[in-house]
Amino acid sequence: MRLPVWVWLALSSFLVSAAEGATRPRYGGTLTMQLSSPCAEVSACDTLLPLVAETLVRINQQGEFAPSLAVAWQHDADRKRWRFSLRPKVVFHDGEELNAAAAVPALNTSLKKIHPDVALTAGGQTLVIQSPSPMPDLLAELSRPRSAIFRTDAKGLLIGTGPFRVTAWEPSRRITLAAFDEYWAGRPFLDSVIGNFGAARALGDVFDIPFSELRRIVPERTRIWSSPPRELIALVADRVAPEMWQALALAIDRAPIANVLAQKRAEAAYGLLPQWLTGYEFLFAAPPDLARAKQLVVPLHSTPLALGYPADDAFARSVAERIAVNARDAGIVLQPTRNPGANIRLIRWPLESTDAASELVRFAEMLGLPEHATNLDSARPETIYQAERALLEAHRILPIAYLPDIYGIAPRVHNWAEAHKNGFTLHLDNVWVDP
Amino acid sequence: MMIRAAFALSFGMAMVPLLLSQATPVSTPTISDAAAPLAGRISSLLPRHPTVSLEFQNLTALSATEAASFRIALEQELQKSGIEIAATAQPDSRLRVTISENARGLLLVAVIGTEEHPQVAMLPWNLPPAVELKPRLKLAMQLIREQPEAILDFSLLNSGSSLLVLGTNKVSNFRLANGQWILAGIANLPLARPIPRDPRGRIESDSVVFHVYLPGTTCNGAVQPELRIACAPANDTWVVNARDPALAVRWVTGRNLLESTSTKEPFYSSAAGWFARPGGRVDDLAGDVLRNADAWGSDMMSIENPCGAGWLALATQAGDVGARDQIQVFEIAGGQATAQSEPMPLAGPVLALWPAEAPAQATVLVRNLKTGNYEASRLGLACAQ
Repeated sequence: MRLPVWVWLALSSFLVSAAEGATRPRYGGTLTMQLSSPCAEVSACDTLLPLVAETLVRINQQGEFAPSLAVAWQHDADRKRWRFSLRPKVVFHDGEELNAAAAVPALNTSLKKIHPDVALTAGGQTLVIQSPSPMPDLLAELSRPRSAIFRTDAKGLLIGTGPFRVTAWEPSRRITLAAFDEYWAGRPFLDSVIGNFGAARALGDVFDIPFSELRRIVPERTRIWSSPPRELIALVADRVAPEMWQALALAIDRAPIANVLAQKRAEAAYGLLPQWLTGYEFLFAAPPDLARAKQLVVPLHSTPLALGYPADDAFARSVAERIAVNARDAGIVLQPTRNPGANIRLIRWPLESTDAASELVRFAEMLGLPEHATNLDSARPETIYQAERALLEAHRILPIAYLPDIYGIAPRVHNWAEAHKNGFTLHLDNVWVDP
Repeated sequence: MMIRAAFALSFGMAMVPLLLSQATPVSTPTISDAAAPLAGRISSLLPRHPTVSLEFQNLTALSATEAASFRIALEQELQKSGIEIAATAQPDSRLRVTISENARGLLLVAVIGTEEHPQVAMLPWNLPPAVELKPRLKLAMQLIREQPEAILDFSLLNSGSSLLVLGTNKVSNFRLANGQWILAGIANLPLARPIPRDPRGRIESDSVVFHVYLPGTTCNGAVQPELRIACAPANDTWVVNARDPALAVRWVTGRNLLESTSTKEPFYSSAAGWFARPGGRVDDLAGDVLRNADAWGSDMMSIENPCGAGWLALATQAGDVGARDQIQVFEIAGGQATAQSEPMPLAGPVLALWPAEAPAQATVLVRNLKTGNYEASRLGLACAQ
C-alpha cells in the first residue's frame, strides 16, 4: 500500500519536530553539511545555487507558479511576448540594486539555450521577453535553477540576490556561505553554512544518505528525514522491439527492488510521475505476469541485450542485476554492464519541481518525443495523464522505482522540513540551530 | 461548568457582535458536492442511457463515512444523468471511481472501459479545512480576524468597533458593520530595512493615534481623519506590560529579540520579572532559572488573575515552530512555576502572545497549520466554580 501525501507530510513533520527546544527560532550559528554528490561549479549545482541566487518565478508546494524576483507577469494571447514586473528594493550581494537591466545578461544566457531567437528588453523594473515563436513553458523554464539571476565577481565568486552570499569556494571540495543581512525576505537565521562535497560520510549537522549507503550506521540521536519520492529509476531504450519491451515490463518484479534493495525506502513505479504528485499514477499499476511475458518472448527469438548502468552507482548496479534475474526467468537475456553503448540503459532521473506538466515536458525532451507533451494544462489533469500514457506507450521508457532524498539530521538542527517546502530546491533561510 | 459573570463582562462584551455573526449556520461544502460535476464528466464519455457496473476505492485519508457518502451521492447523480448502475456489466461498461489526491488536493478519477482502452475523467477537488474545536476550560479564546497574510499584532479601538491589524508591510484599519470587519483604510509601512525572518512587531493605540514597533523601525500614526503613518529607522522603547511598568523594552535590529536596559541579555518575551531567553532558559534579572519551566516555549506574558489578587503567567509550549502549540496558565511563586489550568491546544504555532488592552486578556496570534491562515484572537481567563 502506498503512503498518501498526508502521511509523507506527517511523517516528515513528526521526525523533524521530535526534538525539544524553544518555539521561537534562534538566530546565529553555523550549519555544516556533507553532500555526497560532487559540485564543480556553484552555478551548475542545483542543490546550492538556490541558496545564493534566485529565479524570477518559483513553483510552490501545490505545483503552481508563484512570485519570486518577479512579483507579477502577463503575456499576449500567443504567449510570444511576456512582461515581468520585478520586485522592488532587492539588492545583489555587492549592494547593486536589482532592476531589469541587471537581470538581462543571466537570463539571456539561459533562455537562448532553449529559445535561440529570444529578445529581452529592460526598462526600470519591467522586463519584456519576446520570441517569434510561442513560449508556453516560459514560466517553467524561468523557475529552474539554471535560470537564476546572478553574475560573478573578479575572483569568480557568484553574486546573487539570495539569502546567503558565497565567502569561500573550493571547487568540488567545500563552499562557505554567510547570511546576507540585506536579503529582501529577511536575513536567514543561520550566520553561515559550510558545505563539504563528494563523499558519503555521516559527518556534520546534515548529511545525505545515498541509496548505496542505506545500511550505514548513523551517529546516535540523528534523525532520518525522507522527502516524498522525487527520483525515478527507469529503463530507457530506443531500439528495442515493442513486444520485447512489453515482455520486460511484465517480467520485472518491482516489490523486491523497493523493499529489499532500497530497504523499504522506495516505491514501485509504474508511471513516470509519482502518485503524490499526480494522483493518477495508480492507473498505470500492473503486477508482474511471468507467464504472459514468456508468451511474448517465445516468437521473438531474442538475442542477448546489454543493460547499462551508471559506472559509479552501486545501487543502480544492484537494481540492474535484479532486473536481469527477472528477465532471465521470462527468457530474456540481459547482461548488466558499466560500459556505454548498451541496448538498454538504467537511468536515475530526478524531478526538479512539483509542477507535473513541466516535469512531463522534461521526460518528453529526454526521450526525444517532445510532440507527446504539448498542450498540457495543470488545471486539467486528464491532459497530463493522456500525455504520460502516450509516452509510456511509445516503448522507450519503463519505470522501475521512485526514490526519496534521505538525510541524517543532527538533533541541534530545527525546521529542516522547511528546507524542502517549496518544491525540490534546498532552502536554508528558515533552518536554525541550537548553540 | 459555570463561568463567572465577571468574565463575560470583561471578555465578552466587545465580542458580542462577533459571536452573533459567527453563530449564523453556514453550509460547509463536502466531497459529496463533487458528485454532480463528476457525474457530468462521466456521462459525457458514455453513450445515451448506458448500464455500468460501479467499483469504488479510496486512496486518501478521507474517512470511510465520507467516502461512503460520496459514493451514494455519485450513484444518485449518475442515475439523474440517465446512467443505470448494475451489479455486473460488460467489461467495456465497467466504471471504476477512485478518490485520490495529489500535490494540489483531492483528485477524483473515473475510468470507464477496459484496461487496454480506458476512457478517463478527472476532477480536482479541494475541501475546506475542518473547523477546529474550541477549548472549553478556564482559558477562553475568541477569534477576531483570520487572513492569509501574516499578522504581527492587532488592537481593538472604540469599544471593539474598530480594528487595527499590523502586518509585515502595512497597517490595516477595519470597522465592524453587521458583524463583519469592513476594510476602512490601509497604510503601507515605509520600512527602514527588511523585516527579520520570524517577523515580530507591536502595535499600541488609543482611539486617535497609534504606535508601531518593529525591529529597526518605529512608526507613529493616526486613525482619524484618515489612516496615516510615518516611520523612522529607530528602535523606540515601550512598556511591555502593566504588570511590569518599569520594564521598557525595544527590538534588536534585524532580529526576533527584545532588549532592555534592565537586563543584559536579549530575550523573546517576559512575564512577572522573568525572561524567556534564546536557548529555552527562563530566568530573572539575577540570572536565577525559573523551576518547572523547562517545557515553556519562547512566548509568555503576565495576565491579571480574575479569580483573586495578583498576576499569573501565560506561557506557550516548547517545540519546533512548525508544530501545534498550546497555552497554559501558571502561577509563579518562590522561583517555581505551578500550572493553574489545563493546557489549551491550538491550531498551530503561536507567533505572538501580547498583553491586550484589558489586563485580564491577551492577544494571541497563531498560524493555523491546516488552513495556513493567520488567526488573531483574544484570550481571557475564567475561573471554574
